[in-house]
Amino acid sequence: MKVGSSVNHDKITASQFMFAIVCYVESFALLTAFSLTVTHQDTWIAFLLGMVGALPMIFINLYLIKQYPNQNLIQINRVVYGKPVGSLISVLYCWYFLTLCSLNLRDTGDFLRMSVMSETPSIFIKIPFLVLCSYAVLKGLKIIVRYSTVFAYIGFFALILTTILVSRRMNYHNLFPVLTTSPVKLLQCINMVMTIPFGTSIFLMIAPAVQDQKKVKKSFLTGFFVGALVILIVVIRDIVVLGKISEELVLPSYETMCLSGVTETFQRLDILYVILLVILEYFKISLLFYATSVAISQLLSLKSYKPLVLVIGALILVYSFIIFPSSIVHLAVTQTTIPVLWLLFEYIFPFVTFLCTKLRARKEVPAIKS
Amino acid sequence: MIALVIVSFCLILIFSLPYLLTDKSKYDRTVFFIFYFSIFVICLLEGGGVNLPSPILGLDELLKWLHLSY
Repeated sequence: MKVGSSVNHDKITASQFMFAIVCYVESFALLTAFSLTVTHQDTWIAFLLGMVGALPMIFINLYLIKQYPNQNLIQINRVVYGKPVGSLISVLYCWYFLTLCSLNLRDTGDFLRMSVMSETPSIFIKIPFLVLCSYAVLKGLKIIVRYSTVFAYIGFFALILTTILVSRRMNYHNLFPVLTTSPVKLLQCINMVMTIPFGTSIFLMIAPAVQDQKKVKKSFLTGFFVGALVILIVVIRDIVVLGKISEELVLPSYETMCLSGVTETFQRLDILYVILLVILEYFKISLLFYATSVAISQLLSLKSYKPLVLVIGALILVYSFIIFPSSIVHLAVTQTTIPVLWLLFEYIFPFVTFLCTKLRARKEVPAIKS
Repeated sequence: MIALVIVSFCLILIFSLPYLLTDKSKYDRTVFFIFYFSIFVICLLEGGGVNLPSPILGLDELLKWLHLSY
């Protein structure tokens, strides 16, 4: 299979790409407990610094997209590192996307079981969810991102509505004292934020599908900033509304939405959180599922990713059961080990790829001059 | 649970058939069946109650041993 060829020929607009990034980043706004338990009322500072820390890697990703037009991450690895090393790194990325997808499926299943379907075994929640995601993946990237604009606007609407409705419960003193967290804890949270919500290497898999490649940079940056801003607002809102209790809760945003209400008839907007979580998680899981399928198909030089979709779906499902024995272990590992491990995929590999690309460009310039 | 796994994989094969039949490449079909049977075995083991190892927990132990975690 030629390096330039692809298993998928779907094209998306720059606007769809931007909203895809917004939805992807925004979906993490619903699951901020992993950071609140570490840095407490300073979490918003960690998110702000994490946003700044993620920018160099976004620019590196944009540089790679520009240097290797119409080539996704797997193809870039093969060009930069050669077939053996490139394939090994691509295998690691396939495992990375598969793990992210399974983790998100697990989170969704656990949340729905905890909040609305407590008597239903999680397998019967995950299977229909995954069937829907598989259908979207089989239909192609165009279908997955088609409704990203609508999903993003639903998220904005829910954020604005709930923020207005809980405004009377806000106590800005909950943000103080500022920067009492130890530097190590702050660094830990910044690391978590940079790798988990702001890890955008997945978009190297779908960037080649953007019709107008000149608009990729603007769309990427705009999408990232909008999504990051949403998360920041949600974190600040949860801290000022819930105060110290936010550190003890599994789903602080859910509890904030439970508190939002106007009169006796307009209460219990937590169902809005459930709907929003399902919508955004469906989008994120579909995107990760698609990236995993395309990555595996491209690595194995298949003509199309579609025959493997359902089988990979089964693997994602079983992996979501194997990955962690319980939610407590999941939270503990997410706070201690995963930020370090994900640095490899979100920062180290892209940085090394960037250096190799720069070195190759420098070698080619003297060759051209001579 | 094993019955669910068998039924699910029968359905996966049925729904994957159109894509396999349009694709005339022997290599693609071979790859599909390798994945199919490997994942079928993994699902059977998990459905049968076997405690399968988690790669993330293994890596967690490794990173903790190397003092590379918080």
